[in-house]
Amino acid sequence: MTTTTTTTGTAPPGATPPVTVVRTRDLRLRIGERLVLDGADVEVGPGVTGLLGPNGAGKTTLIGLLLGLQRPTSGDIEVLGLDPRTDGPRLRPRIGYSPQLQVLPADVPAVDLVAHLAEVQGLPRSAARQRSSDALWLVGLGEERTRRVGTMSTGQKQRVKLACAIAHDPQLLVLDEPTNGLDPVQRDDLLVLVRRLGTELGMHVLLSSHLLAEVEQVCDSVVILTDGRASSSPLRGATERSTTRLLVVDAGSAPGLTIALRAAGLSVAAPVAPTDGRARDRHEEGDGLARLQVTMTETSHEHALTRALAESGADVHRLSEPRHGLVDTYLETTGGAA
Amino acid sequence: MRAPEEASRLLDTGYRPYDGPRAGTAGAVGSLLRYSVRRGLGLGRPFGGKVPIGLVILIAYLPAVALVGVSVLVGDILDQPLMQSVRDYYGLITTAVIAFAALVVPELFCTDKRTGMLGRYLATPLTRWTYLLAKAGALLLLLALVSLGPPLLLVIGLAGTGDTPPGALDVLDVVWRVLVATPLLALPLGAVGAAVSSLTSRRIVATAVIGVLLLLGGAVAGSLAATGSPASVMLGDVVMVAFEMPHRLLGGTTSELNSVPLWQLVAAWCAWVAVPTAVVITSYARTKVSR
Repeated sequence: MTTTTTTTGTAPPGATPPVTVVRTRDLRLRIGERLVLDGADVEVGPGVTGLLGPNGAGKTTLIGLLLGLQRPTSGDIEVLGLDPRTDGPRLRPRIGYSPQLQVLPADVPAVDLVAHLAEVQGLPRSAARQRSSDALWLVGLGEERTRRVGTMSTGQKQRVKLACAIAHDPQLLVLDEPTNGLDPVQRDDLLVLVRRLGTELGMHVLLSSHLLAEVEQVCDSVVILTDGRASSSPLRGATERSTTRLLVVDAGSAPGLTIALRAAGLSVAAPVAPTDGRARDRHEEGDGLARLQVTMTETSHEHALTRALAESGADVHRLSEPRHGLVDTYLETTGGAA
Repeated sequence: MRAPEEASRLLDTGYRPYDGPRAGTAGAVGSLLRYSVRRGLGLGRPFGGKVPIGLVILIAYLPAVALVGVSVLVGDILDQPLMQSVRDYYGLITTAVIAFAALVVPELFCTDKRTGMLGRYLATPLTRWTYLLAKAGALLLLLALVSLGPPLLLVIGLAGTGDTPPGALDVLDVVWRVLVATPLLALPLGAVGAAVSSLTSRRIVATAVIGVLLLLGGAVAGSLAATGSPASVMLGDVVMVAFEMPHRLLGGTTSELNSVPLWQLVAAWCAWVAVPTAVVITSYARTKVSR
């Protein structure tokens, strides 16, 4: 069985939306006896996309396939309109890759390392040199650019890796666990920078992480890998405004209000209880309150809801838009895998 | 007061999109080759990384500089044909070439694996095979520094000295032989070094194994030859095979292999290049680099 989903995100300024950045179809990869990817269908649009999954779910493997570093057992891959298996040398200069591995050549000044990799990516030497300085300034290492990488802290090395990935001005930035080993302040700084790269500098970003919070913090959409399959979900600006509202009113006024709302064309039902044992509402059973889930199917229904509430005279304790967070999506998709 | 258009200038536009030319695979190979040569020579590395390489280069060039210097000052002390002087010189640089190979080849191959640079390179236009092509080019250039440079210096230095200086045609005859001899000498040594280095990411281990392999091969083959085994047993020593090639090209032979026919020598040379190369290719084909 395969899961097919599409993500859409916020296109970076200057980009030509809509484009499909990554598309895989029925992607399978068998390593020995283990089926690492089992018919993964992924479609990633512009913007910042998170690649989430439990440890060992195949995130790094998928990145390897997207870069053409590995070949799938079967299935199709398309990255920026090219097939990594056959167009690798043409595709990879359009991708900036920051691997998970933390080590870097210790005895090389940061600016030399970044310039060298930019040159290997095809830039002329003078441009590579100039852009390596620019990239290091951008990631906050301008003053430290001539220091040997081996003398830098973990946070600085992560920034050097990021500078290596962006110096040649890629269209797609692939970051594999870029916040590993960082303290909370460093992590936040780096995530702000990643978000900036995706929004202000026109790069599409694929951010692999096992930390839901950081994906939720910077990403427009998310691809979740589990059991070799992929599912996707939009986040932040990509989400359309929910069509449901949770209404908490006095139990006594609930029947009349329900009738009034239905008369106005709205669908009213009892809300679905949380499935994971978490209390989503401070009001529990027996508190004298009723919870109604109101579904609106037309734009005029929002106004009708407000008017019905005003005219009913009911004591409204809360009217809210139920949030379906990334945690819920992740738990639903992975079945709670850590 | 300055004119308004001079009041402010944009000195640094910071990070911005790049829409200039991109060199593609050929540029990537050239860039990696240059960088690898620099790394191999210890350039851009701390002082400690330069010292051993510099010493070995000095050892390779010093006899040639001394011979040329003495010949210029007191006349031709060698008193033998130019071709023979050059042929004999290979015997003086054997240790330097072995030491250079043991030091430099692991730097070219092991360091990239240990520092994650291999994965970064393969995320560029380079593939495993174009990566190896760049490394092989760098390897040959570096080995040429100690196997071509000193004999060539000797040829040029001795060409204008002595009571009866060799003619231009004689010099050219030696020069082309030295040029051809260089890859014949460097390829098997480089291939063995690369094969060892492809199997480990630890530079020091590769250096030790290459050193032992190159030196031990000669000792084992020499012991066998001393016990009455045929001279062809010396073909099991890659150093002997590699250095026999310039000797044959320059009209002579080493004493150990003078009874070995040319076809056996060529076959052994091919084997010493092909087998280690196959090891390198297999090793890199199997290397996982997705992290």
